Amino acid sequence: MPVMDGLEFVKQLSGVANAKDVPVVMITTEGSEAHVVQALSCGARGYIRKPFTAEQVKEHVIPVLGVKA
Amino acid sequence: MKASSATLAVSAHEHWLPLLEVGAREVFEVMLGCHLTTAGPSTGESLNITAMVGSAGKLRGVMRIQCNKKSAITMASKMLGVETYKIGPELADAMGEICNMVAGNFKNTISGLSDGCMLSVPTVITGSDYNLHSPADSEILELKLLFENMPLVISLAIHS
Repeated sequence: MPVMDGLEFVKQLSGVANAKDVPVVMITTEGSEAHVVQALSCGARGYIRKPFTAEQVKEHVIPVLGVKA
Repeated sequence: MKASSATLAVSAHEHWLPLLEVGAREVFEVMLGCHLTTAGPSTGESLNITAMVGSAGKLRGVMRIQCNKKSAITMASKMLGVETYKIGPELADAMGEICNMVAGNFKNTISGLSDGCMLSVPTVITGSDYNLHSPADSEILELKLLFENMPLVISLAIHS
């Protein structure tokens, strides 16, 4: 991402009053477990590694939205 | 490990070539729904779209994907799920994203690189009348493949 990376974006979003409750699922090429842990601790609600399938997106996004598949 | 016939090796990191090829094929299969095939002899066709992603940290270098414009439009179309005639500025975004995914997928397959290697924002060049100068001691890994029967060159310049 230009300007800031995804982790920084999630951190900053959590400080914006009318956006802090927007659920974020990160889609990234970063693949290490440490990065996953860092993302979730920054406030991301899910984490998808690229390349990804449509099924993987559903698997991670649907629970975050709290809707039935 | 021996490189496949789709590869041209000129590097001490030759054993990375099959991993680069597997990583690239996976990206094209999962994200674009198509299989890359092995290239025959070069036809000398102009590859006028170049996408590049730099890496820093444990792996310092540049990943590059080159193809012709028709090929790039087809890739963008498949990736975005829109007709080829609707592809405009998205072409550069799609090519940059594909290069980013190939680079990321590759580094995640190399032990120790996943954690200590950072990728840059992609750069996309249109046109073929340019020279790319890497540091003199760079090693080059290069894959020559076909995407929908059109040439596709994926290379990784590794800076020592």
